[in-house]
Amino acid sequence: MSSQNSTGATILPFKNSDGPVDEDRRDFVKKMGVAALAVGVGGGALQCVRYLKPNVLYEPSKVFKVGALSNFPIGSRIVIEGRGIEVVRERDGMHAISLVCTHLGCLIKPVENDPDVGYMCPCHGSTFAHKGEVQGGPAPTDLPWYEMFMDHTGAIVVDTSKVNQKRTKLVV
Amino acid sequence: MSETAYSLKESIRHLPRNIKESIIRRGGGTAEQERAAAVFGNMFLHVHPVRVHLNSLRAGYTFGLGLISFYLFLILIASGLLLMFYYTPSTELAYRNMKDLEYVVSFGVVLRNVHRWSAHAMVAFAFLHMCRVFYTGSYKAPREFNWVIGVCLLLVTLFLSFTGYLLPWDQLAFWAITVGSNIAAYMPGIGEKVRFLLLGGNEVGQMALLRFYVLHVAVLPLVAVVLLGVHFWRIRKDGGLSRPLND
Repeated sequence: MSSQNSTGATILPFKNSDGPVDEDRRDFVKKMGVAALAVGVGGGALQCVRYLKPNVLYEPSKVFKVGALSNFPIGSRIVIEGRGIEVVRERDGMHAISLVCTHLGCLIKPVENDPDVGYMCPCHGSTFAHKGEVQGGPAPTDLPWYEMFMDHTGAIVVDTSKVNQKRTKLVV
Repeated sequence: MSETAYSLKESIRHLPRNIKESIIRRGGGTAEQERAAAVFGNMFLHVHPVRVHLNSLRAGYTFGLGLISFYLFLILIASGLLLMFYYTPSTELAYRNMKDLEYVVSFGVVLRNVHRWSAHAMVAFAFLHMCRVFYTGSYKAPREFNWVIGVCLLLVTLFLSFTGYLLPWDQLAFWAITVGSNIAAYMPGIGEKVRFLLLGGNEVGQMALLRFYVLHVAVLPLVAVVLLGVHFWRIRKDGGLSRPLND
């Protein structure tokens, strides 16, 4: 069957399939091959995405003390620096309100001595009422209130991982 | 040893010519063939066709906007590589490194500004290039695919600008990326997850700085180079620079 060309290299003939080709078998092998490739590449891609999702975060804790009760006299509004919240104490209790704009996450400035507007965002001009309700601007939702409690040492603790949905005040 | 072998003296005498011939391959032929070979026999010139239509050379048809964008990209690579020698992607050092580049390092302020202005200019020229392609109808068949590649290149350019914006680690950078990543979080369904992956956490911090740095200096430039290769190759395959049909 084999022959030689002018350079002396051996030329092997193509296998001549005189018999019928088993198309079902070829199709099956092809499908299996594609499936194996998809599982391999897809699994690798999924692992890459999972790898990029960190399991441990070195971020500040979401539960933190903001100080003793005496630091928050009745009628005060005190911004907790670096935490993005304001602690407000009124006659009927206290609450911790988020200062992170619900629009795009800028830090909101409390507005002093205004009977209607409580907060204003410097980025895109959203305004909020004293309880955090949206008054104007692009902000889609009200400012959330966070859960707060007093621990056994008497310190006020705020938990920004839990939103106070019912907007209840801490009575102390 | 055969009779035709060079003597040592002859080898040395032929050395300059041998080196030159090994670099520039010229296989004889007519003068025109030689001139053509000078282009397609050269790795850096062979991207360009040996012959072009006269109208492809008219500056007013394209204003060279695509090439200007490409040259700006080359300037950005060169200046960016040099900036990398003085920059550390750490929240402790990034801002100080940037200030050092401005006030302490020789020519650092020039490099930083070259990088910054070239980046702004590249976005502008990529946009103008798209305008030219649009208004001359050059996105039409058979060039539709290259338009799509071009749109991807515009996105890569914008994303390179976005990731580079965080690296000085100043207030502008911090709030720009806070706002930008929150825009990504508006994506329906997967928005919050995309934001978390992009920042490597819930807020713009060390992980975000490192991720943006890696994207800015490695991943995105690599994607841009590959897409640029396809973009240029397709210009040739789609029939050269577009020009009026009946010219």
